[in-house]
Amino acid sequence: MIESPSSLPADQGQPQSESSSPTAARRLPSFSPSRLQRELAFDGTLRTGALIGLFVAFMVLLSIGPGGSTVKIVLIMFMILAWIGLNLTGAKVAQSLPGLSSVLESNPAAGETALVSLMKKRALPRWVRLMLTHRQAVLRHRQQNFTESAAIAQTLLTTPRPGPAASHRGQLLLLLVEARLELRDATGAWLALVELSRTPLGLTEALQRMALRTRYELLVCQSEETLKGLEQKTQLAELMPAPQCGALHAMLATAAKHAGRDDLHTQLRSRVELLCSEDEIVQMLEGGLLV
Amino acid sequence: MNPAIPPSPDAAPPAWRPPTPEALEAHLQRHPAITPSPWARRTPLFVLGGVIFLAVVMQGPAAWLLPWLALMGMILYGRQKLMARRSFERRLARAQELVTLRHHRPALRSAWRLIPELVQHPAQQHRAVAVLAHALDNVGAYDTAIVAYDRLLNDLPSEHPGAIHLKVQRAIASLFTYQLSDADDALRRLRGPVEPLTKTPIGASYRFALLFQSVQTAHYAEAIDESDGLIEALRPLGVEAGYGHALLAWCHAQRNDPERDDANHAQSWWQRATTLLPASALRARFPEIKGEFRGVPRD
Repeated sequence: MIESPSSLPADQGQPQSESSSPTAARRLPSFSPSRLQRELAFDGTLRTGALIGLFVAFMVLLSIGPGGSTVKIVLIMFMILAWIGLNLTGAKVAQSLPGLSSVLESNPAAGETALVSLMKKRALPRWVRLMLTHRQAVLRHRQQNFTESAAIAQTLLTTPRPGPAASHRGQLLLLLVEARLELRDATGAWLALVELSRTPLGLTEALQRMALRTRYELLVCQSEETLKGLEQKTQLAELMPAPQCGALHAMLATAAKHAGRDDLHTQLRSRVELLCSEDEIVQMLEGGLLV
Repeated sequence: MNPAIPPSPDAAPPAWRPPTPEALEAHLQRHPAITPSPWARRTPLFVLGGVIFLAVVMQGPAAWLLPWLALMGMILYGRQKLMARRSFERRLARAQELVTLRHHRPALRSAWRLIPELVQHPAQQHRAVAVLAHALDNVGAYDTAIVAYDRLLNDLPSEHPGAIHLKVQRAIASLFTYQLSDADDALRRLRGPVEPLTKTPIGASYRFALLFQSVQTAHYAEAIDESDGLIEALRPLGVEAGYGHALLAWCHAQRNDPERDDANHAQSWWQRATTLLPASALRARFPEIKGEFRGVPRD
């Protein structure tokens, strides 16, 4: 499921010449699960090696010679500082993650450049590397490179020992479902939806899951299923921001039309017309989300 | 009340009342946010430095073990702080979810309790006060909500988009409490900053505030004259745009000029409003709209 360069969106097809301008946006290479595994293994080896080295050095210092030697104390201090330094890089990268998310949201090109430099850092804790890869998935999703975003999400979901990165499981599954729906992979979307139903979610994520499930049901023509619990669904849709609320109403209206419930279709359609702009309605009509 | 005697099962529960502005003011003053000084944040490092110094001057096994024990202590201290932070974050997220789900009273209670616990975490306390302000606004305690908005505005730079939104919300709350000159001042000052935000929820709230101002000052004809593009302007509010449609319906009903077909206009705006929100919700928010529009069913 790795994106080939030829199938990248137009803005990604042209490689940027980094040498021409020092501020030119740098691009991440196409995602490869084996590269991620290599990087995780390399980080792990560096960190474990450093820890073992420090421990052995400490034991050697402790076992030979009498205490009180200033040189030995200085060496111990050096060891402590080395360990702090090793963790400082990871801590700094972890601290930059929230800022990186907002940059990816507002300026994907700048976000990608920042992501490239952060991913080049070595000896990162495993969870920090996984969080950075998660941001890469978000970036690709935003760039509408759904093949790659699905591949990254799938890899992250199956990577063992995620540590604190496990808290992003719900988001990754949502991203995976959406990417597969965009790729019209109904089976893959269903499998991810089943997994999502077993994952504890916050309110915002639960609302997104409802919208994605509705979209899946429309894709596989299960209109009756979509209309079950309609009142609750519309009430929950009202909690979403206006465009998402309008889009969900559009999907429900489409399901009502497919189910032959014209009165309900008219009612929901009139809400869509108030909630969505003309452009959004045209886009939904073209995408088959509204009839 | 004697605690030995249980309350009668028929006894009505005590009526719930939102906190008064004075109570909130006192609560916020008792628990002001304390920004930790950079020195306080670096305390663990100073402790570590001190321990290392001691290790250099001391002799024997203590000299070897002390730095490692200090490092271990630092890690445990950091971990404990992180756990406490995560626990606050969870509770705050829950309060925000409650307010999003329109469970305003539990959200209010939760945010009220969190404020004293978050004095060491200014950003999180700010969020708790934001939940409080939103919940107070939605339970109709506008005077108290204004106190919360003032506190939030105090924490933000005036050009911050969040501050602009809060100022609009505050102006709407002032209109509800008939502090009309206060609201008018605020809305005039916001005209410029809101200009680039027209197609956002902030711009939509501002447009709603202007419409509401016209209603509260009985300038119905003016509100109608300026209603071009109202549907588009209020759209970012989602279903809450229905409140604006209801206000315009009310304006048409109040002007009620047969030559300008106000009755029909009132009907169509009311229909739009009730497409988005139930009539009961509209009347609960604007008790003025109690009367029946000509030719418009009540629900």
